[in-house]
Amino acid sequence: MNTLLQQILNGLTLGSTYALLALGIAMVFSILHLVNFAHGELIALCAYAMLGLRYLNAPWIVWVIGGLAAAVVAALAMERLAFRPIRHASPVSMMVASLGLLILISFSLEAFVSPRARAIPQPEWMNRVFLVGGLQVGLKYVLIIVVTGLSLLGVLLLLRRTIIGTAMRAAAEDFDAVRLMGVRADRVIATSFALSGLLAGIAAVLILSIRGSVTPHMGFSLVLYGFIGNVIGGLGNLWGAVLGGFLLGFAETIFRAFLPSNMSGFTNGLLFVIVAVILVLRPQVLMAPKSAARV
Amino acid sequence: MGRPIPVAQTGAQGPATSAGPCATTMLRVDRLVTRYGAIEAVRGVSLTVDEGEIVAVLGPNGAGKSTILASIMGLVRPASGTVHFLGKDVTGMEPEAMVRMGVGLVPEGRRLFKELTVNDNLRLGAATRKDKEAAKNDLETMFAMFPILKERRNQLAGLLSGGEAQQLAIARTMMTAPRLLCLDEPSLGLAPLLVSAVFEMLLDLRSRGYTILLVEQNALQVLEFVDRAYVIRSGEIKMEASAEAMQDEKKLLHAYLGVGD
Amino acid sequence: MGIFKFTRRNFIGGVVACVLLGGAALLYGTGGVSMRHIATVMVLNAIMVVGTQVFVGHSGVLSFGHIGFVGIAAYVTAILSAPAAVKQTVIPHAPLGLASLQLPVPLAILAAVAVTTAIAAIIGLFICRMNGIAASIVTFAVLIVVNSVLINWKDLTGGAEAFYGIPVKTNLYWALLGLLATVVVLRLFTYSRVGLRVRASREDEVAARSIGIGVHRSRYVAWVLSAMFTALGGALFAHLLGAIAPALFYENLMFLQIAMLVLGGIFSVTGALVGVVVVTVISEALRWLGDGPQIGSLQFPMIVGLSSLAYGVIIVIFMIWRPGGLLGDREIEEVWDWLKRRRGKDTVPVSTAAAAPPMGAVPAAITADPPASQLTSARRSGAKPILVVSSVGIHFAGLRAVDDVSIEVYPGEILGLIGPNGAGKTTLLNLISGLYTANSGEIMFQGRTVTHLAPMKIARLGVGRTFQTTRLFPLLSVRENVETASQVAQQYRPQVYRHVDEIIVQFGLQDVAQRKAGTLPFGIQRQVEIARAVALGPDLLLLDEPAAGTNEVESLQLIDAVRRVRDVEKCAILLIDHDLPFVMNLCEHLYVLDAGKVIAEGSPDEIQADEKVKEAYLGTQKAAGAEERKGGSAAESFGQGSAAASRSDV
Repeated sequence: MNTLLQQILNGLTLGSTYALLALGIAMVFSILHLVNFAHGELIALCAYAMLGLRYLNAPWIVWVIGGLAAAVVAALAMERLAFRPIRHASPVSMMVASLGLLILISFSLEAFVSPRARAIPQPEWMNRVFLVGGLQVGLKYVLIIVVTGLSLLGVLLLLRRTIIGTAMRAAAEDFDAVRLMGVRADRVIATSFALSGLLAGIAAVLILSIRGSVTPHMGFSLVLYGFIGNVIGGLGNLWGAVLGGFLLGFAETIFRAFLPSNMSGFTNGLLFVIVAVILVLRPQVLMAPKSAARV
Repeated sequence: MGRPIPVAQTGAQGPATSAGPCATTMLRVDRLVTRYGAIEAVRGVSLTVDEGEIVAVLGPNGAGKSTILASIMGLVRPASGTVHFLGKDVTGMEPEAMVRMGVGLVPEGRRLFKELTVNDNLRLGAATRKDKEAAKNDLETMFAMFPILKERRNQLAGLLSGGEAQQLAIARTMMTAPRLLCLDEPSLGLAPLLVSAVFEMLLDLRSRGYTILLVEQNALQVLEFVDRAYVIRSGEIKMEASAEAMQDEKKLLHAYLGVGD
Repeated sequence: MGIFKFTRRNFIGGVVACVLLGGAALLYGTGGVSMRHIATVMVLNAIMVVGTQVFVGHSGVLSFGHIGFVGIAAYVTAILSAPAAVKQTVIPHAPLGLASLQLPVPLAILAAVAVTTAIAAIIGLFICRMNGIAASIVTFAVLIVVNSVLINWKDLTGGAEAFYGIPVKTNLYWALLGLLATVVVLRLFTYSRVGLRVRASREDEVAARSIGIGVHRSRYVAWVLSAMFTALGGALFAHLLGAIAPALFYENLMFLQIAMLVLGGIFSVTGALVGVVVVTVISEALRWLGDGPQIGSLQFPMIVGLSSLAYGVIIVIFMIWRPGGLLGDREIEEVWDWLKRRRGKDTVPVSTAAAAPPMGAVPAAITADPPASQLTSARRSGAKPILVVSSVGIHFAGLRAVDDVSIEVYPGEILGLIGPNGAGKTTLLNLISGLYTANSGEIMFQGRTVTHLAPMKIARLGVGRTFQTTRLFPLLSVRENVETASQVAQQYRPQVYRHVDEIIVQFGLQDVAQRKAGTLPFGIQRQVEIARAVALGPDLLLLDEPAAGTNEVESLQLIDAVRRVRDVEKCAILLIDHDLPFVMNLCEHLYVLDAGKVIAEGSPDEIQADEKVKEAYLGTQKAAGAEERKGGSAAESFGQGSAAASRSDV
């Protein structure tokens, strides 16, 4: 029973980070129909920004804020410099461009910072462990789940209660009609990127609290997971992506816990087989609604 | 533009006659040419709308009517020609800018945000208005004008019936506080009774100070509610006259279909 | 089978491209062992990239999975050809007794290609049915799964560590030979019947289906061929390196090859080759720079991953600046043509295109057939109709777009479908051509039930069509556009087959035949679309708004042209248009639709006099409730009470 509860906690924790990842990707896809491979690089940039701030001996709270800011700025820069010029291009072209960005950013980190992993020791208080009914509960795991929950709530409130959030939901449905309301296309798109950057930054902080180190290519594997979460939940469907992320977290936890040890390396492959099967059976998961953002 | 909806003019009943010689020209379109792909959908169309008028552009499908509105609104760039609104050259301006200038478009097929509530649809119309108080007042006015929308304010827009959806579409555009209201085939898909109701609503709006330009296929019904009309066929204006003059069906049929009886 | 087509031009083009690249490689290779190694790797990359390009460029679907095929082939040949002694150390527990097996290298390479092709053939069955991004993501999944298997099936592959001891047999000459074979074969494919179909499907799938092309099947052939040659490259690669590891066949190789494809141009083999050369040069230069060389008095710092960084820069820059790559879709022969034009030898000025004889000009060779009136009396003479639509209905999201519609088309007649906006005319046409499937009712063509048939099958039975917005294959030449249809006729209805050049002459398109269809003025494009539909040898031709955008003079010419097509082809024509003078003058019989139903039928004169038709277009004079308008407010008309609208406290 204890193991089961432990696994549930693990699954929830892992699922939380994947949910944030998936949501960040879905946010941009829902409006622009852009599969952004470079989303993972936002996480890497946030992590490296935190590394830099720590190097300057800044307190933890400053790193975190600096890292989040870096992610948001990077996301806005990505949109302005790389994606806006090709907004009219086909989804495939945009996808390839995002792949180019992934390569550019990750190898820049490798070339100009360091090709090796660098550690970012986490503050001591994160390592505290509580004992709850015989179960070992690490503070950082609780923190991850709580922060994720708050973030999701924040996004929900933003989308439902604010005008810009409402505009984003509307833009996902019919972009031109939103322009007819006088809402500027650029603003909606920039906001969705900024939001996806923020979510990536939060995910980075949480992931770092577990991993404790950064590598230049960490973005690549992360974006793959965010991607799987999206496909499972239906690309472009925001809450589906969140659900997909959680399911993915649980699936991975279960695979790792219960697969024979020599098979556990297949987890990655297995998950992608599932993605492939889902797409083969239901390709409309990726179908764009009637009016994609053709500004 | 945060101008609140003006007070209803007392005693105004029925359609006003064509604005007198002192009325300002609100919209002037000069020799507009717009291509749709490689087809010339609009070939040198000129028209004007004076303040306080209701003007219709009539014609069969494929004539270019929707393209004219799309060109005015900036959804599509004209190849040549000009559009002036209140004296300013707005040719090819982006839709967002046109809305800020005071032109509103209720698009063909309404294009409501089906996944959003009625309330959200309306609020979005006021999204870029600076005067939040005025926007709130306008919301109340809309609910007063369209009580069914108030009743269904928290329902998803996708669940509304045809007539209700048309009301929402018009109300939503009204929330952008336009001075010139353009409508693209508001009668499409509506039963005749509802069509009359829509046109009556437009009369009501005109009495509140709005200028209206509408594009329609449904000529004979529309002609009772408008001041002037243009008939367009194959991208060119074939006829322009006051509503009474147009009610001569033979001439209208000829202009419309290009075939006489 | 139509998979390969030999023409002197494309054969020589391929050879020349290879010679150029080979020459460059050989030259570079004279610089010593390490330079020869780089040159050989470049040639092998070229094989793999060209192999990938055959699928990606022809289908328009980006594939990440080909790197997976490279990996599979490399490992298969490695496992089969490595000496038993090595295998006993690296993979002692290999299944099927592979640990003690050693095949000669050529056989191992053959087996590698065969196994990979077989695996690809199975995966392709799924991928070729999918579109665009979904397919791309599944190919990505293929890459990840292959990588996962290579790393984790330790018994077979030795896991993440190097699999060494592979016989080193590949040298620059073998690699060049492989490249020559690859380029020549794949160029033969590009211009073959299947190759043409794949390219047409890439341009416009709907149009391709409408002329009878089996989009999935053609794409499948491209997929399998591309897997075959990518595998060849992979196997040769293994025999160059002598030792491989799963990490070699993962993101780094993928990034490299995508950069090569993007830079050179996805749509042409020559482009792929150019991309390979340029990226290799840049890559080597940056690698040299990243090693921290000393130039004069400047000491450059050591930078890791500089050349990989360049791939990213290349991809982003080209996607923004030139998504078609340096060459776009131009093959090497076209450079030759362009040079000739620059020297003034070519004569295809635009003006002759505009002066082309009116469409459908009847060439002297085809004698005039019995006058039209004899054919149109088919309806009156009691002949059997060629198309019978019975009580057909279809609804979309609750709206009945077509409601219980029945029409008949008789052989050789020109029939018109008119009606106001939203009446269901194009929907009906789409039902007949198979783009939509009816929810109720039946459609019979020449006695066969076609209600549920796919568009390509209906096209093959002899139904051709044009579209409201002209759907040509823009990157294909005019001749190729028409040829796709005439080849379908040749394959499925040889009795009506006419050679593409005959049709080009019939429509007066000789002067523009070699030009890419997308570059032509609109009027000519429309002619080409009709020529393409006619090349199918149809018994029924569907025209969707042929007069759209024509002025009065042009629409008169069009009337003549359509009549001529009917006279020469002896087909029935069913057309939709909003230009009523055009329709009334041209059509012999009319159906009028409104709100999805047929409201009138008859000759043009009868229709013009029909009250219902007038109502449908102009609307009714007085709708119920119009009387009350003087008194109430709009809200009241909606029955909601409260004269709130006249409140003055707003």
